[in-house]
Amino acid sequence: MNGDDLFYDTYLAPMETRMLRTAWRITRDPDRARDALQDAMARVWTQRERVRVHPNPGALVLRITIHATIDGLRRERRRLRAEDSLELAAGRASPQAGPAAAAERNEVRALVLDAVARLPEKQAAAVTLRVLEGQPYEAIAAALGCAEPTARVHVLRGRERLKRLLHVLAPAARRAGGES
Amino acid sequence: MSERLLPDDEVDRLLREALADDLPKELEDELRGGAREAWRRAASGARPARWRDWFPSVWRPLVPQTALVAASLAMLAAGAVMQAAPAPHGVVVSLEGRQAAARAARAMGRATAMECTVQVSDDHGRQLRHRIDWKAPGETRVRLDGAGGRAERTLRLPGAAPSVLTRAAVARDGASRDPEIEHLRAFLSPLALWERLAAPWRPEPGREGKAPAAGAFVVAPRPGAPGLTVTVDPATHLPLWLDGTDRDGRKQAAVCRWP
Repeated sequence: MNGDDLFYDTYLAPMETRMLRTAWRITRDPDRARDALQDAMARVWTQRERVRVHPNPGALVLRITIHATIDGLRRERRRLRAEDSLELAAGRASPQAGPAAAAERNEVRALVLDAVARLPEKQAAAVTLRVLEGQPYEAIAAALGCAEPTARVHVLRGRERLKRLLHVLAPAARRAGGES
Repeated sequence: MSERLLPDDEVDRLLREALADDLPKELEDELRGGAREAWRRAASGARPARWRDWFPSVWRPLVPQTALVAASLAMLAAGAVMQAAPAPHGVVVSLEGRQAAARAARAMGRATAMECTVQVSDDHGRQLRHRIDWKAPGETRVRLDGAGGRAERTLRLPGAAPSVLTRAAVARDGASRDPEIEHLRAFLSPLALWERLAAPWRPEPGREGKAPAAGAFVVAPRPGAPGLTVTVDPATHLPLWLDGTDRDGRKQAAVCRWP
């Protein structure tokens, strides 16, 4: 076994599933998830020494994956008009849902994806690590390379920004919450 | 009016629902394989967008990296040597000449009087000597010392600006129709003089050895052609001496005073 395989087994294999799921959750598209993972692997390779000495290598790997995935989303947003992007992002609807519910879910999903892609890099990573991955602030701080209070601020500001970006969903969200 | 915002838990719920962790098993396996393959490619150095990939593949054996590195180093060294060497003479002369000409143009535009003693050759090669006094706003007195004796012309040339004699004014006054002073038109006012000197300045290839000193410039109609050396006053930047051959091929010398 060479050093690269050892690195993979030591640092990436334990995080592999979470990397895949993170890429999928943010992209909702097999091709873009695949691209994001390739990009993430290349980034981890170039930063492998940093990962090796990092106090929380798993959190750092996750952060790199999130960045790579959101960067891919941003590139898509630049490349496509917003409407097309939203349609693409919403393209993977749940087939079990009825047409109307699926359309509404797709619309909400597209808006959320677009809002996440609009967040500054650290806020996007902090919110994603906190809300989707359930990481403690200590791990988020380690992943972002900042102090724990700063990590809290990133999460807080990311949430605040998402609230503003998603304010159009406020009544719909309340309805959806009431129905569930 | 403040916009209605979602509470924190609603934002979190939207995020978890929109970005649900519902990766299908078969896709997970496929992505896992792709991720491992991407890692192997990264580790083996087969990364995309390497600079040598920009070259067509047929060229690659011709441009080994070591050769390109050596060529780059050689070019860097040559650049350092060129930076350290004195600037090429022609370039320096050219820049200095252009700067001197521009300063002279500005100074002549502000002049209110001019006296020139001009020596030109006529169409028969005879040397003629003239004295020209110009005074704003446009009065020009020309004293001719020719073979036919001494004569004097006084031209009143109304111009739009006090120190500028336009070419149109010269024509209106009939100066250009007067054969006695037609060849002096270049000296009838500062503007006319400047128009004579405004030929594109070019360094003369054979003249490096006797290039004009600082504060002087050469005008020539084309590279290699005989030109006119203009020496300017370093304090006022006004032309003091003109010597050489003008654009019409006449030998010409003039001494100017700017009261």
